[in-house]
Amino acid sequence: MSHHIVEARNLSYTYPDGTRVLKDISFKITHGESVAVVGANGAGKSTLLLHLNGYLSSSKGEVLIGDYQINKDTIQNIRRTVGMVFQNPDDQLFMPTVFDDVAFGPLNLGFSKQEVEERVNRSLEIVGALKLKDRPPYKLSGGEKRAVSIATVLSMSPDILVMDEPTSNLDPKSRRSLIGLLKKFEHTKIIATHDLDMALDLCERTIIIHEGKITADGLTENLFRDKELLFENSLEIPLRLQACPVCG
Amino acid sequence: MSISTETIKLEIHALDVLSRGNSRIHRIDARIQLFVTVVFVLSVMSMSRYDIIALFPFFIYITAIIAIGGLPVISLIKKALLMSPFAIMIGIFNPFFDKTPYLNVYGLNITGGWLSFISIILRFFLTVEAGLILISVTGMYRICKALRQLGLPEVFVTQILFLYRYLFVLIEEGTGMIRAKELRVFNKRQNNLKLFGRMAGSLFLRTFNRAQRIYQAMVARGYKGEIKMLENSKINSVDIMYGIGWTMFFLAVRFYNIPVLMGSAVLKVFQ
Ligand SMILES: Nc1ncnc2c1ncn2[C@@H]1O[C@H](COP(=O)(O)OP(=O)(O)OP(=O)(O)O)[C@@H](O)[C@H]1O
Ligand SMILES: [Mg+2]
Repeated sequence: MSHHIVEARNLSYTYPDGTRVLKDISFKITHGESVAVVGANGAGKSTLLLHLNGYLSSSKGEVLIGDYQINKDTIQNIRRTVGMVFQNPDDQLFMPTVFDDVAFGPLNLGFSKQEVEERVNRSLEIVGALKLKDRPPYKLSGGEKRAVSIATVLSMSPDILVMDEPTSNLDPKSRRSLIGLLKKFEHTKIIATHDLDMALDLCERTIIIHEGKITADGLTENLFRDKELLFENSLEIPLRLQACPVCG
Repeated sequence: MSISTETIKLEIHALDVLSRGNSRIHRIDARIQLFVTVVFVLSVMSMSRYDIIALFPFFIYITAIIAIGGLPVISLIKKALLMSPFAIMIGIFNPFFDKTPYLNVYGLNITGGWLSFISIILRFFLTVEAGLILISVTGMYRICKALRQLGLPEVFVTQILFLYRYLFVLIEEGTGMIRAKELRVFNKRQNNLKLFGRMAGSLFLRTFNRAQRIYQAMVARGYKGEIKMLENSKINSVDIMYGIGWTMFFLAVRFYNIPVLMGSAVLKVFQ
């Protein structure tokens, strides 16, 4: 299954109002890799992720998923391959019940009734939210919403998981259990985040974006120890790598 | 203010959840339910403006569906009351303009204006209840699917579905903004029209952005503008009987003043 590759070639993007957000972005992520995308607010992380499932497309540069370039003919297949979990779970959950929400993707893919039900149950089971099946999403806690959001994507059995700030708004315990859950997934993972400690836990590789350009791309450990590099990109050394002030 | 918008949102959301119930009413095909509701609303709306007694049989429909569908009566009534200011606004001037005496009850003159005012309120209540009941037993998603099956163009149905979703988004964003404003406005005089205008503008933008993000999430999960359901229901003979039965009932109530006919029949028996 070596075709779960995500590749961007000289990608540039300008919003219709003239804001230039991505400038000549190139990278190649291979099968099974976990990659963190970090950078200050407004650096362009979310915009970059929206290119990976073809929601946004640029006149300049291209995105390849596997061997396919994203275009009209491949887009439906690509949206199945690339599961996208958005920053705010309230945007992701829009159906009257958790079941309906998790079934939304598989129904659009045209699976049979039985297959859809199986997929919903399996995905909810994986994220530990099976008992929430008949609850309306707007009544769930932040952690539960996040778990269900992930299930809505898992039910389409994607090969690549793309997540925008999955740990934001989570309490320490929910954050821990989410990290534990993501660790178990064997998908190719691309995670945009401000939570550098999580990046350190989950991703061997990190891409740093600053004002729409890639300023660093390498091993997470190495990048996060480079105080100067982080400072230049408006970031800070994650707590776990900081020298302990008490013990010196 | 902020509390009440929050309640409206939760309560309308709750309606959609009710639609997952499994009573005999819930199992009627959505197209038939839609049709029955439309005939009901048209019949009620086209009643003469002074009718009050003749409206009462329409309550039989409301009561029957609530009873068979196991719907929460109190919360349905409360929802209609929340919207009643609109009806009062529409009808409030009638008593002032239309002063022709119509009835004389124990020496008290009741003018046509008052009659039509009460009639408007009743008709409004009936119509709103019929709509709420439709959403409660069918769910907005199934209603839209039914509209699609009835041949309405896809763009149009998608618009309705999104409008409904955006209603919540609007309420949600609005609630957040009002709360934020109340926490920062200390001087009551700051509460002026200009501030309100600016807030309305930014509410629009926020709603638009939020709606766009929801759309992104739908597209990301394979949404192509087509409404897919777990089960494609078929219209069976029970559904057809249901539709014909209610239609005949509504037409009878519309064209004959049944309470009056019944009254005079009873009088004849006793004479
Ligand atoms: N729809 C839009 N129209 C115009 N400009 C936009 C739009 N969305 C984002 N931008 C701009 O693009 C830039 C990058 O935004 P983006 O959301 O990609 O940043 P981000 O790295 O995800 O930030 P954050 O960490 O705050 O989520 C910002 O300057 C933002 O103002
Ligand atoms: Mg972002």
